[in-house]
Amino acid sequence: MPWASVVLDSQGLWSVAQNDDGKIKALLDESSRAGVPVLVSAAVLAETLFGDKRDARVNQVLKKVEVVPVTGVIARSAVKLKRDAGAAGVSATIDAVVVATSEAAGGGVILTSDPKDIRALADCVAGRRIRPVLVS
Amino acid sequence: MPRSAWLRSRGVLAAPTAPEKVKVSLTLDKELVDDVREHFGGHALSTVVNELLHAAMAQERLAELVEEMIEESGPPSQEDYDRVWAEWLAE
Repeated sequence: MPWASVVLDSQGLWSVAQNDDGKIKALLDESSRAGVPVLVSAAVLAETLFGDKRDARVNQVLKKVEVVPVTGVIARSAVKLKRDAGAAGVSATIDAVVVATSEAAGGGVILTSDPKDIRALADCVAGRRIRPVLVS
Repeated sequence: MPRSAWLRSRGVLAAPTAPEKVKVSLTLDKELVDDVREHFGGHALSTVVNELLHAAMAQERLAELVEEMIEESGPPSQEDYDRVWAEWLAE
């Protein structure tokens, strides 16, 4: 198994839906072959979706990946990551939930347009390898 | 245990409410059932089969997504695979 999970942040989910980045296809192909789950936090849905026809492509992707609820454990883990990374604000909260979701899944790849902030949070996770992969 | 089944068993992928259950009668390979019972000893067979089916369906759906993406815009290049691995292995 190459990485334990793939977690999509908002731009990661959008980029999968747009399907114009070969690197994303390569990542998902490797993951599919190895039986690695592709996960999206429910918090990312709230951030990404418009609630109208603009969601059509994203909704197609959501039928094929697994949506992870923001459990109490994940929320508390996100709070700790935010605190440890010295991050604040709504955007940092969503990023922290994304990283906490990856942590709960055993670590792995986070598909993101914001590798710097994700990396800062991921560096606060002990005992799990979490690496951002940049989407264009 | 497949990754999705493992995540579900740890509550990461748990549904907020218990899903409705349906009783079905299945005919399975005896050797396979014995293997599953031995491998996942301590868990009810229904629970294990349920988790394994969830995992299998998740894998199937992901494979479909990749197929659809490749059908729409072509396969990824070797360079694309190399870039993914480089970013994963970067310190």
